Amino acid sequence: MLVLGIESSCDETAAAVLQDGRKLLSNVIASQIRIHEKYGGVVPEIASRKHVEVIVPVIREALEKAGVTLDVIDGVAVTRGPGLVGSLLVGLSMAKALALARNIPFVGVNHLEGHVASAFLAEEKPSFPFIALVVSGGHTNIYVVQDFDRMGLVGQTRDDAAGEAFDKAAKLLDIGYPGGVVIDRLAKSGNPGALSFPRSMKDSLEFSFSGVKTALLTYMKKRESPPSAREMPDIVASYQEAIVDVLVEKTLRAAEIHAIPQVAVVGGVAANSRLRARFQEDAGKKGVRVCIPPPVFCTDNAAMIAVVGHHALTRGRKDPFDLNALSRWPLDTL
Amino acid sequence: MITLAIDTATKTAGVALLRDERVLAEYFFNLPLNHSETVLPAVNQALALAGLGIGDVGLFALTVGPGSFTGLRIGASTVKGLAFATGAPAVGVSTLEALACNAAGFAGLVCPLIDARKGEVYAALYRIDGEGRPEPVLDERVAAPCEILPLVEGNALFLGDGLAAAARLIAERPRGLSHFLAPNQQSVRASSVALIGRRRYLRGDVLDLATFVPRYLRRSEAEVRLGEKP
Amino acid sequence: MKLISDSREQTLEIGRRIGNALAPGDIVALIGELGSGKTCLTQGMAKGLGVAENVPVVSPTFTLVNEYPGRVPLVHLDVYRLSGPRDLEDMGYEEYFYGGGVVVIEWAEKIRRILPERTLVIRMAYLDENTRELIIEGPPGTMAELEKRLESGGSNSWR
Repeated sequence: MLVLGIESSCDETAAAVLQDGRKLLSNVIASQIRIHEKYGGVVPEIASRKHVEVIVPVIREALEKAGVTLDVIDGVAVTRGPGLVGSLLVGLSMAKALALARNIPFVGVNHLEGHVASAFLAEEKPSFPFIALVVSGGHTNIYVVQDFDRMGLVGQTRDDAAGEAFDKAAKLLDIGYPGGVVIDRLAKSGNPGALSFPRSMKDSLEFSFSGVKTALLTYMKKRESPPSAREMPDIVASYQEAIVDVLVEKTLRAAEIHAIPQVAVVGGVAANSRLRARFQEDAGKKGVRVCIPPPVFCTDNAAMIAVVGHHALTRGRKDPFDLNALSRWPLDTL
Repeated sequence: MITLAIDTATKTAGVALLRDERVLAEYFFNLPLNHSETVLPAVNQALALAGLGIGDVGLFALTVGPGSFTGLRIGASTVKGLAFATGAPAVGVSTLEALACNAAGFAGLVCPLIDARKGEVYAALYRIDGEGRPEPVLDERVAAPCEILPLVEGNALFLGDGLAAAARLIAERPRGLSHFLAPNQQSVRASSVALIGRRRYLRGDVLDLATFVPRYLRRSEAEVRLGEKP
Repeated sequence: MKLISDSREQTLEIGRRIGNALAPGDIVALIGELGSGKTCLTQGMAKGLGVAENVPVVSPTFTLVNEYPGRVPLVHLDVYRLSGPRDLEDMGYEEYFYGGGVVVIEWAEKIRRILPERTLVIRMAYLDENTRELIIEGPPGTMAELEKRLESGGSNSWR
């Protein structure tokens, strides 16, 4: 079975062709980072405009790279939510039109379920059940994953998402965009123990990142002068460490509590090199197996949407043409 | 030739299926639903009831703007998908020109007005020829009604959901020179989109699927602000 | 009205009392820099509006809007990523202003031009690590109601 995946929930327009649920024939991503850079963040209206502009070339390239034509595609999987509705509607309208025109089924996929499924695009694939940490600019959730559409939420953020904590810190420090990427790069030459930032909600699987953000703000306000370029790596490395610490610790604790010695780390922040290294290190010590997909499958992509779509389509699911996009769509309501 | 037209440019949405210049089926929606929820089901049903397949469609026509940004994008993405999958050409039509078709038979100036929010309207001026075809007199633009109305001289017909925003100024025009239509004539009809689109297609005026974007007429606010910075 | 909150808990409690005083259709504009406690105050207002305790009221920066069912539904908007009011209009979000819920808007200064006159404006400022200043302005009726409810912090006294 050949599935065409389409993703347009935020600032990446993406398409992928997946064969039989495991063999990825192509994975094309048109990133808008350069466009939004000058605004210091994703501007929804501009993102939507760009999606319409590039969606046909992106799909065409995905088909060409896979060496197939639309005629042999058996089904279309598209992100239905959560995300920016204006952006989602571009991919969704396209997917419905392709399905109608080719007389093939289409399914609307939950973006978060897509991230969880991206674990199957890693070299080390997980097996059910496993613990999944979905960590991105909009989410910080821990799930117990029993099967493709059976995911129970066991921990989530009470305020900001981890990716947002990175973005806001980068804004506070005025070090550039996208925040997570800049901090990752700068932190490599810094000492993560240079400054002490708080780790919140110690005895729970819930996250809170507003405390660490406020601590950074306090640190900056107390300083007499803005930090020099030489001091910056230590500041961001210490800040990053506080976030990485709680992400690793709570995820491994969830594995322990639920007696599931296997975790997957997915979502945009899973591309952070320090988080990847710390998970490999700490999970190893606890005898927990860890699956982290390569960075290209951590950030938004259509391959992960096609993986979920494949499973839905093989189970005979076919969504109706009046399907609407959803800005909020918690995974446990699947 | 079969033409399939869709309009998602304003609060209302429509789908029309034509064989040459004959309307086979036409749907019109003015519901509190997203156009993505109504248009594709209507396309599917229109084709089924007409005993046609999507492969029979020789031309896709759509309103490319001006109008609601999200609506325009739903239409553009849908037609891009249909045309890409079938290989049939697509043609874009001005929302204002399609709206002006409702005034066929009126001899003076036709001024379609679409609500652009914040006290502004999308507007243009047309004269309708003897066969119901709008001929442009003033290019489409987005502006406050006070900038549009002085450009409208003599006998004129005003229509569209932007009427309310311009009502006060229209009332100030000389008595007897302003004309209006019935409530069910104030929105775009997809069959008008199909007829205008068909004529354009016959003149060889088709869209490039890979690159066409809606005609927003307005830059996004972020771009405007960035432009203002010194 | 000017209040000083000495802790996160006090900010939550102030928010809860404001939430208690709010009615369907009310609009609350929150203005303040990063880390000034806007989301925290909103979490308090959610409590006062009867949003279930187990529902986390999280930052809407990513999705722009979060909706929560309660005694009165809470619509939590974050316009941080928008360039201005027109972006909001383009997205049809000003419909929320007339939707019958309580609308709380973070970074409201970005869309000041289209805020209705009846908007309750809360300016928040960072004083030090724990201390925040809140300056509240709004229509006389709402202000009278708020003054009654915020008059005394009880054992949790704010200044």
